[in-house]
Amino acid sequence: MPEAPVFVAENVSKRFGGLIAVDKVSLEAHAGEILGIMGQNGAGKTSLFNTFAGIYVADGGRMTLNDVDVTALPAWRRSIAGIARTFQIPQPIWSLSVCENVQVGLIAHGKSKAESAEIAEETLVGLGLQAKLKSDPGDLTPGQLRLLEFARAASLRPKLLLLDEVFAGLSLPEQQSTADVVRKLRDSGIAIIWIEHNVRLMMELADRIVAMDHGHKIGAGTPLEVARNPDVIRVYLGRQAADGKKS
Amino acid sequence: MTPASNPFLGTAAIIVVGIVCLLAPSLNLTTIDFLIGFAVYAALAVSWNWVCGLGGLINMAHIAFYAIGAYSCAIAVAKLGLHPIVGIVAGVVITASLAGIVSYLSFRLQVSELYFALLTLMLADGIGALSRGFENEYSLGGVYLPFVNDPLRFAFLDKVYYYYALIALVIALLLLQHWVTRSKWGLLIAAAKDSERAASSLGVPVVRILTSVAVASAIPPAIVGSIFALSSLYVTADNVFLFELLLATVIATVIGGLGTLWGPFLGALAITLIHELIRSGVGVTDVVGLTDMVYGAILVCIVVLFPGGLIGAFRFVRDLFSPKPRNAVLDEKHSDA
Ligand SMILES: Nc1ncnc2c1ncn2[C@@H]1O[C@H](COP(=O)(O)OP(=O)(O)O)[C@@H](O)[C@H]1O
Ligand SMILES: [Mg+2]
Repeated sequence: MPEAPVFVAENVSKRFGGLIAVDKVSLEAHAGEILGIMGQNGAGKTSLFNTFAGIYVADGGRMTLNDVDVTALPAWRRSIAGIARTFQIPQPIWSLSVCENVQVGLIAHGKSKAESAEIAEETLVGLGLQAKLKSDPGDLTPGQLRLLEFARAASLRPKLLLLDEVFAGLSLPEQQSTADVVRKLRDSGIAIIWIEHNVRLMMELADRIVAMDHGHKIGAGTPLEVARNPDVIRVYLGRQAADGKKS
Repeated sequence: MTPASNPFLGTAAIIVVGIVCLLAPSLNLTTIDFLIGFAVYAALAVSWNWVCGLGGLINMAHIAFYAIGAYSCAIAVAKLGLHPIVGIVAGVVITASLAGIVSYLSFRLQVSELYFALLTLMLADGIGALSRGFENEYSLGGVYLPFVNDPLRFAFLDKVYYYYALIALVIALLLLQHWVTRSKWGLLIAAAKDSERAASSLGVPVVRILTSVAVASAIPPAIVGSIFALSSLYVTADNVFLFELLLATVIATVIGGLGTLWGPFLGALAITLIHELIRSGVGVTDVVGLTDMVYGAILVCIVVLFPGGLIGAFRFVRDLFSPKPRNAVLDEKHSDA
């Protein structure tokens, strides 16, 4: 990648009391690239996103977006600066319709109500939610709620897009159409960091991968490099061995 | 969400109801004190609904804001010889600043909802205690305004003009709410109230938005308090720091329908009527507190019968008579797709 990275995290840490959820993690995200993050449950992936997005205040380290330090900015300012994220556990605004859920972010980013409605509709139709525009989020399936999460973040055309397990619970056709949209977003020049449990999907979609375990970054590189990384293999084989014992 | 009715229909409804209210005194169906009482409840409930129903902040200092408005207007007129508008503006500035500071600090300190309620209740109590102290010290028995007819200084011998002012205020508040909730601000406020996390991740400045709602909600009670001072000509801690008024505001908003446009208005009408009916039924010699008991029992019945507030019952009746089912428009769209 010859270009300067869009987003740089240097030694970012997040603690919860005695638990170090994120331990001095450094990474770079480039425009037009999908950076995958893999790791077991509890590895600290979501905490890393919450720290990047400003939901958590970092206990150490520094984050820059296009060379501007965003470490001290609150969440809403980071969003305006160009960091969009999805929540692993969807957090729709229950009192608003599906379309309005997408409109909120666009309005906060300076669009008029009419413009926001147009873009929101377009985004949702692109994800196959055309029949649900006026529905309450409560009428959506868990998979559709994830798509709504994704639509809210993607519609903002951010510089950096943080996707936290957006494919979980999607049907195969939904996975296909969402993957298409993710690729399109990448090709439009957005830097994407993507947390995913499905290793096969990750190997297929990610340009580079960072592997995490217990808050640490234990490996990074191309999908092939990471797949051959002995530390990564140990963590994943360890889990398989443990799963084997259970069954 | 409320069904997306035509915005002009909503505006027209507010104006029609406003005209009916303005004509009410000439119908001679009831006393002017009854009408003023209703308009005061309505203005207080509609504006409290902004902070609590739309913003999700249980602000218990609403009546303290009313008292501040009453005091500042009375002091400006009776003690300083100023035009009442100066007192009204001063009251508004004080209550808006107080609301802004308290809500902003509460957000910064991440005070929980219940603590916010407790905090504002204590703030109200503190302001009440302070004014009682001052009153005992400096102006024995409160502040009296001159009983004159001077329309340019908002002094009328006929109380009906104060009723007109209050109803005009209520109509203005309803129109403002109708407009804001349908604008893009409505979406931002709903998002900020519903999910701080989701909203801020989408770029919504949650603290600013909700603080603004709290500030906006603190302005009408100051104006109502000022009008009360001008109409009653007498302001003392005991007639403006009324716990019953806070209770009536909260009850009207909640039984009417929290967060809705017409709920607090209907709730205010309901509790004014209930008060009046009980008073005429029980009479003035109520030694055992029968009034309060009947009042309480009626409120319990309303809460049990209409869990969604009176506005819910109103909508239910409306839908019974409307020929088209509510979801017809949506269904047409679905079959297209
Ligand atoms: N808000 C929180 N408070 C306390 N502990 C937390 C919180 N969020 C996450 N953790 C802990 O931090 C660790 C990392 O969690 P998380 O970031 O959700 O992992 P992942 O997304 O990789 O599954 C876990 O041990 C989890 O229990
Ligand atoms: Mg997670």
